[in-house]
Amino acid sequence: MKLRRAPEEKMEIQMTPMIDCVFLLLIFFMVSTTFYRQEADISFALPGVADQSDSVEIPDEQVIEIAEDGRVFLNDLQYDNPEDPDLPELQKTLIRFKQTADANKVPAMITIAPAERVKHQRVVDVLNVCAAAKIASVTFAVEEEGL
Amino acid sequence: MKLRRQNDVELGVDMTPMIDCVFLLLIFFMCAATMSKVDLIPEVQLPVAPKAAVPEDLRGRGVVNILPVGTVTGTGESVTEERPFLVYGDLLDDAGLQKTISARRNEDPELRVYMRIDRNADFALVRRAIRSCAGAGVFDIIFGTFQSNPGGGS
Repeated sequence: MKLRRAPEEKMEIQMTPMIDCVFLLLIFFMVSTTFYRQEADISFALPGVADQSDSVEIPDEQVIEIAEDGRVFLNDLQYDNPEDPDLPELQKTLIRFKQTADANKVPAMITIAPAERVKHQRVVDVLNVCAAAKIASVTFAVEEEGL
Repeated sequence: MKLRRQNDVELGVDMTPMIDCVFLLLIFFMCAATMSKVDLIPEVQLPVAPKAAVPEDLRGRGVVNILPVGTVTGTGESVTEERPFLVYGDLLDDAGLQKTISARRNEDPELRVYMRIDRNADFALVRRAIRSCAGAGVFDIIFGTFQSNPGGGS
């Protein structure tokens, strides 16, 4: 008896379930993704971090006070408009202060003393000006009871 | 002249370019998704500081969020003067914050505290947070900022 050969079946990979899965994953990641704006740093160190083994240098320290209404005082002298976030006069003064401290080979230090009800944006405005003047040693005023 | 009809060509939609696009989108969203546990609360409106530096090394940071008193958090709780510090969804008081930072510092002695403070928060809250950090033995503190303010406003 002569056997008839069965016709060859075309082999195909079934893509449909894979595409379904990929779509599901895509929708999941699209829904769960939250785009954050990139954040930047303004850092400072508290006074307690100073290494006692370092040789003692007398730093050139300036105090910046910030009043509740946004007025900024450097050594009791008011600088710039309370509404101005750029503080150009203060920036110029701090750049000169930094240059003088570098020339005298002493560290330039800034202590910021904001009033209790000052908004954080105003404090950051002052920190921003310190960063513009390349003053790295910035700290906050310590109250009598201590940090 | 007799024209021969062409053999019927099987019409099929070519799926390949679509699958390519879908794969590309999938890979993009997989890369963009932040799967690690971060504590960046979107309610915090960071202050703007154009001279702030974008960090390269984000390791060893403990995040503390500070919102103005009265703000309602994502969990429905309201920020109060007594408990103003938001850490991983919990509102903490000064002692709680110090305890949390202290525990984190025991795990990582190089811990730096990354403070995400709302631009409208009072400095009194910041001072209290700084004091808690000092009490926990952490002296390296970073303020989170945006470099620009494309949305406008103060």
